[in-house]
Amino acid sequence: MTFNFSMQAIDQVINSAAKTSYMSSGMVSVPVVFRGPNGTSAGVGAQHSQCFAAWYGHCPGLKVVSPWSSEDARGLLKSAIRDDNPVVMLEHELMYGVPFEMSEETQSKDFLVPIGKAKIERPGTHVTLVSHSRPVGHCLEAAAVLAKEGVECEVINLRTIRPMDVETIEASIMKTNNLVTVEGGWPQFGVGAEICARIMEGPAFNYLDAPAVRVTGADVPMPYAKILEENCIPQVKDIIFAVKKTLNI
Amino acid sequence: HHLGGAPRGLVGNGAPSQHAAGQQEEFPSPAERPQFPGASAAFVDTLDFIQPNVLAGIPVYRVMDRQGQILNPSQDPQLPAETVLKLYKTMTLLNTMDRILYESQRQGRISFYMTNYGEEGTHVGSAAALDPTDLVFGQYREAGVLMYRGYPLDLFMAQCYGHAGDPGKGRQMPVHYGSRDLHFVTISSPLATQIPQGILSIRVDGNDVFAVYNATREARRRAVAENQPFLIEAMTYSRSPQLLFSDVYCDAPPRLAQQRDGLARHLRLYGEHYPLALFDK
Repeated sequence: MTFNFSMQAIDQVINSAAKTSYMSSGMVSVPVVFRGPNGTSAGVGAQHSQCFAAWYGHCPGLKVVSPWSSEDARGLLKSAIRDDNPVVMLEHELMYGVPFEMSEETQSKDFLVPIGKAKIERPGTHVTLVSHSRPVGHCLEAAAVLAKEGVECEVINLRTIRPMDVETIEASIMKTNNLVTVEGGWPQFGVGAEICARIMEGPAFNYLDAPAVRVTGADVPMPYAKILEENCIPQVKDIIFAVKKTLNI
Repeated sequence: HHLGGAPRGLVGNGAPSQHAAGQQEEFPSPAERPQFPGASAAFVDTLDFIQPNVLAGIPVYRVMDRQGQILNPSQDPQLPAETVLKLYKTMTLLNTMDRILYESQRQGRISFYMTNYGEEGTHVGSAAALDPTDLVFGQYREAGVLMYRGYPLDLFMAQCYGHAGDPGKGRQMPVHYGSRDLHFVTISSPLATQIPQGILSIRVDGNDVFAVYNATREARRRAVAENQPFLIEAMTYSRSPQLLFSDVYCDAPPRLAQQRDGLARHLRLYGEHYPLALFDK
């Protein structure tokens, strides 16, 4: 069962889990982890393909994490379990079968990925690409293609949706002066929208050479036919196009 | 409902009480029924926890016995032979289409399929009892209704394969059929989270097409005449294959065992009609 089905129980996640600590003035904690597949799959249609990062990320009282790599998944799950707060862990359905190299350290017993800290997967100088979950891989592919044309992208893997690590994004923008956000979810009120708003509210705004651009899923319920579905999910070419548009090249 | 003061309601013998709001209710009848809103029950003065399986379940209405013989002649809907043949043909066609499309899914040619095994009788019995223009809202195992109404096989295929011939334009997963012309609202696979209470209900043997037909026809007649909803719970045996999302070559398909058992049962009952002597056991 995917996070699409969590809508049948979302009242419990928000009103019983997320708000309980606050409503009991900290006396009752809800140390539960909700984990499951999130986002697009392959050929499962509108009701089974939604990304819930924006929905859960909206609510105070919840922590929301979104792993991309194996090390993210392992470290974030451990951190989530050890956290006293309700944590929503949005795993990407299409990433379950994807293998990653893992160091000794990341396989050790107490390896943790801290919640609320983003990771720079690839350093760069010309543009900041911020993403979470499966699209992080697409950003890295786009960065490899763009590197051949002399454009060096800095790719940030958010890892945590809430609380969002704005500081890492700001530091990156102060270096690169350009921002492109990439997500699988819908554009309106999404993760990218929140990043853009926060950047405008902080010191990094003055370092932007161009307006930030969002690359998102198409603003439609997910269609079933393969050719339609492919065109509703952000692809590597869409990320490359957005970077070039931002850099005006 | 009551507007402040003491509740006005029925006393044991059914006569409405005539007391003004604010006065104490009198109970001249020894029955002394409780007046809790929304619950109609009697008081009891012995402490007794009710066991879950002690009360008898709602009985199941049927017309035919397991051998297909009509039990009570007054319940025979006496459908013309042509209708009965159409019922039988649709059930068989549905079952055949199911087998082909299910195997398509197991072979990876379509991504998803829900068979209608066990519900063929429910679909065609209810479809036959309704007017062709009655709106049908299916969940996702109601293809038999659409088939009975004449939806062509190539459109079933087109929807499952999501190709250009699909009137749904490839938007939906397989088995999410719909047809405005046949008054069948497009399937969306709804989940039941809030079931309404207090509806007139009947339980029916879903494998008995005449029972389903009778119950549906009567429910429709009364629903239209009395403007209230009716619930028909059609009982059947879950026979849908559980292997939909598992690896194709992992297990031997249990459906072959089911087919074999079904054939054996059929031959036990009707063996005399077949030239069994010609075949090895």
